Order: sequence, then structure tokens, then C-alpha cells
Amino acid sequence: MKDILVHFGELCKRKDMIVYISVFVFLVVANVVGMGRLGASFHKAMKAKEQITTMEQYIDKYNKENDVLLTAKYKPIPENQVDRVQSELLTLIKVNNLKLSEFNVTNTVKEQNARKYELEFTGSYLDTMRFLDKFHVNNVLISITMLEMEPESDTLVHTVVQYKIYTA
Amino acid sequence: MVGLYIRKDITYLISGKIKNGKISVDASGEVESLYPYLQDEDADSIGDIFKNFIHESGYNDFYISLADSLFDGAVVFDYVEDQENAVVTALNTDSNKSYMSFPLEYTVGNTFHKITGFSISKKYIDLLNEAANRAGAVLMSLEAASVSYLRSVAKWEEVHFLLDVDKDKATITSYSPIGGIYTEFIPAIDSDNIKSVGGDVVKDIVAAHDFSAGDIYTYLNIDTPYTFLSYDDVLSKFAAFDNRVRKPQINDNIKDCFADLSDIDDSDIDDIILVGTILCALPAENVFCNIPDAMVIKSFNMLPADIQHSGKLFQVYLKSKKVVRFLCVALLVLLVAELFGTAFYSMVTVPDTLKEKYNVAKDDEPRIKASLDLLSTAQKENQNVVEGMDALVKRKPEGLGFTKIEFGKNKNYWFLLTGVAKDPMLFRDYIDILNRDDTFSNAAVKSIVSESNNKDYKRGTIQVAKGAVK
Repeated sequence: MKDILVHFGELCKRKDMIVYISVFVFLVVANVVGMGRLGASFHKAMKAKEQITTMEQYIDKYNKENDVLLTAKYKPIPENQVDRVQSELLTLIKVNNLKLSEFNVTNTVKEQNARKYELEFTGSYLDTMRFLDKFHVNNVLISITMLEMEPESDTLVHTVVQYKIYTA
Repeated sequence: MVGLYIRKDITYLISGKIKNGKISVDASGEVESLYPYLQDEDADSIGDIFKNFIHESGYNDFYISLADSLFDGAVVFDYVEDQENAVVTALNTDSNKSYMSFPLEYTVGNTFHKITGFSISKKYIDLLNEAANRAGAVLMSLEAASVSYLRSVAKWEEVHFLLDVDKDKATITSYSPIGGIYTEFIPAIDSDNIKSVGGDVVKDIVAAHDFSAGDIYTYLNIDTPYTFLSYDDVLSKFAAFDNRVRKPQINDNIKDCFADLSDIDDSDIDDIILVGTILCALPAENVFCNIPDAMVIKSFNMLPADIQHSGKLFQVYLKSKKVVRFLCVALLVLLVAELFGTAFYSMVTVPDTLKEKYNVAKDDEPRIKASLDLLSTAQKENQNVVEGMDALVKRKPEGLGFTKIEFGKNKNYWFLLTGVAKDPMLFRDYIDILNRDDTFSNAAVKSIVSESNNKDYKRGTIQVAKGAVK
């Protein structure tokens, strides 16, 4: 066996064998390095895929929520548009032949994302109901928190209404 | 693989490789004669020729058949302990100057035990080995041409007489399945005198050989045919060979050892020997067929153990080279696959557009969430006042008049109604109507009292909770 190894060693000294073995060793080393890099890039790719899935799911959820918001019948308005909406409500009183008795801002407790008002007006029952029907001017998110109606005469009704205009 | 059939007058070459266990012949034909250099013991020139063979064939493992006339001879003898001495005695050779081998043994029972011994001058083998070393070739085997012939025709169960004529002498090599191989040199015939030699001389030679063969081999057929390794056109004219000429062919089993033999003439004696020569490259069990039961074939290879050892190592080297080359290719393919894989996986990144969308969504999420919370809160706080009011008025019975409608002043009810009617039963009718309406629930009369300024009228208070209206 020793002789074989000695002779084989001599055969391996042949130039072509040296070249083959050198190339083989180089390729083994290159493959080890390549495997390492492949593993690292695979790991990175899996992480990226996971990130992509998370992001897509997040965006999908966001889009669905946004759609809910966009398709909502009534929407909160920016803070700076509250006065304009309020002004439109007052115009609506006039348009519906109602007589405004009183108008107050009733933010006694600090409301987040809402402004509270109180309106007092007089008019026929039909005009009052017509006004209340159109209360959500321009699809603004408004909710009536208190309403009180009392007949003032045979034809007129005195109404007190408290409401909130929601702001985003 | 390079197979060489070296005769005194001519040298033939066959080259090929083993593919899927079969020999694939690349080329065959006559080449520059090596014998003159062997005679001159010119290793350099032989080495140069070997180099040329390597260059042209691409192979450096050599398998050689030497004409039997270049051997000291072959001899059949009864079994003895000192077999070398038996050969030395029979062939009158010097064991220090010759290599010997004992390739055949024939045994029947305990009494019939024949051994075949070959002997060849060391100078030929050493010279060829030296030349091979100089050329970077490796001698794998060296045997007598008669053995290559027997291997190729594979009729081991028959007796063969092989007659070869060269410039010095004629050689008859005889094989018997119940004896072995022996050679007989006949100086009376050579290539110079063969055409002029008399028929009586040939007849005497044949008769003498028949006699000696009959003496060595038991039960010999006296009409055993001769195979002419040379000068068959001349020899067959002699009356002594009437009906005693064999037309040999390569055995079909042997043909199966080759991928393609289309370039080989299977009835040409030189091609038959060349085929037998290169067959040494295949394992013996794949090559020897139709061997008589009582015969044991050992190696016909005349190369001494150290040269054979080098040859085996060379085969290991060739196989190792092949394995390493295959591994190199496999590793290269794997490396390329790894590079492609790495490049492919490196391309998997989060797209910039997705990142942008994600960042936009993330930045906008608090606003969306706040707005949705607000919608939810508003939904909860929306008491459908207008719808409730409208329904209350529509369901009001005739004769009942509202004096006050309240909403949102107390959490215990939805609306609190104050009304007047002459008939107090109208209040009960009204709550019945309201309770039947899904918009309302739990409608109840809270109080009925007489009007202070008009006793005919009753003032009633009704409270009603929210029903199914959304």
C-alpha cells in the first residue's frame, strides 16, 4: 500500500494532474464560498419576501380602511371648515323660513374632534322638519345630541337643537 | 490505448479507448517499423516513435504483441517445483537474461499436469520500457503475437498451429487445449528462401512438427490446420499444407467487446492479432471465452512485476484523472448554479414603489384610524332624531296634540312627548301604535293629568325608547 501511495504520488506529479488537482481545489474553495454567498442571499431574499408580504398586507388593510372612509356617506371635516359649515346651517334656517332665536357654541367640556352648538328657532312644523332633514349639509358628519320642540302657537313650533360637527 | 504488433519486418498500430465497457477503435494500420531499433537497442529512437504515437493517438498506455520469433520460445512441460529451471533447460536460456511467465496450466486428476512457460530476452522488455519512460508512455502489457491471435479467435478448445516466417527463420507456435503452447524454430525456412525452398523440405518440416506435436500433445489430430501469420500466399502452395490451411476469423464474442469494428478486417491475420493485442486493456474475464475446464489461464503478460505495477498505477492515475476531471466539471456546474442562484436571490428586494406606498400608508394611517374611530363614535352617537321625530308625528292619532317633544335630555328614553287630548284613551292608543312600530320600543304613558286651565283636556306624558332603527 505504501508503495502504491509512493508511486501514485509520483504519477500525481504529472503536470496535467497537478493542473486538475489545482483546479479541483480551487473549485472546492470557490464552491464553499459560493455556497456561503448563496445561503446568505437566500436568507436575505426570504427576509425581503417576508417584508414584501407584510408591506402588501399592510397596504391592503390601509386601502380597505381608506375605501371605508372614502365611501362613507358622512365624513368629518377639517377644523378650519367648521365655521363655513356652521354658516351654511344658518343660511339653511333662513332658506327654510325659520326664525333664528339663538345660536350658541356650547363647548363646555373640551370635545376632541368635535365642536358643539345650540340653535333655537321658530317656524312651521313642516319647515322645521325640512330643515332637520337637510341638517347634514354637504355630507358633513353631524349628530344631533338634543332636541326640544314646543308649539308656540297653532302654526309655529319653537325648536331648540344641540348638535356636534365632527372634525378630522 | 495504443496496441502495437511488432514483427521483424513490419509494425502495426491500433488505438482506441474504453467507452461503456467496450473498446472504441480510433485508428489502425501500419506504422514505422520498430524492430530495427530494437535490434540496435536504440531506446531514444523508439522513445521518439512512441512520442509520436502518443501525439497522434492522444493515448499513452501501450499494449504490445511481439512476434513469437522474438521470444526465446515457449515450452510445455510436466509439472515440476522449479519451473524456471525447466524452461531454462528446455529453451537453453539464461534466467538472468530472460523474463519468464507461466500462463497456462492444464490439470487432469493428480497425474496429468502440464505447464506452459514463455521466455523472452530481458533486453527487449527493458528497452521498450526505457523508451516508454522517455516518451511518457506506460507499458501495460507485452505478450507473444500467437497469444493475441488465440485471444482474438477464441477457439481455445481447438488445436492451433501458427506458422510465421521472417528474415532469419520460420517459427511454428502450437497450442493444444490439453497441453498448452510451445514454439519450434525452423532455420531452414526464412523470408529470403521461402519462394525457392523445395516442397520436400516443407513436407519434412511439417512432418517433423506433426511428430513433435504428437509427442507433446496427447490425442493429436494429425490433420491439424496451420494458420499462416505471414507469406500465406506462398506457403499455401506447398502440397504439405493441402487441406491444412486455417482461415481464421475474429470470434463473435470478441467482436462484442468492441463498440465498432467496421475499420477492422476480421479475417486479416494482422488485424486479428491487433484486436487480440488491444483486448488486454479489458478485464480478462470479459475477454477469455470457450476455455477448457481443465485449463487455467494466468496472465500472458511478460512484463516483470514492477513494470506491471507501474502500469496498474498508471491505470489508477487515468481513472483518478477522469474522476477529478468529472468532479471539476461537476463543481464548475455547481459553482455556476450557485452564482445564478446568488444572482437570482440578490434580485429579490423590496421594490421602491412598494416602499413608497408603504411609507405613505404608514404616514397616513393615524389619520385614517382617527377618522374611522370618529365614524364609529358618530355611528354610536347618531340617535336618528329626524327619523324618530318623523315617525312620532306620523303615528300620532287624531285628537292628540303635542305640546312638547324632547330628545337627548335623559338617557333613560329616546323621546319624551308631552301632549293634550280630550279623550285620555288616545294616550293609550298612541303607545299601542308606537309599540307595534319597530322604530320604537317600550313606549309608556308616564302621566296623565287634567289641564289646569281647561278641565276638559288631559295632559299626558309619554316616553319611548329606541327600536330597531339604525
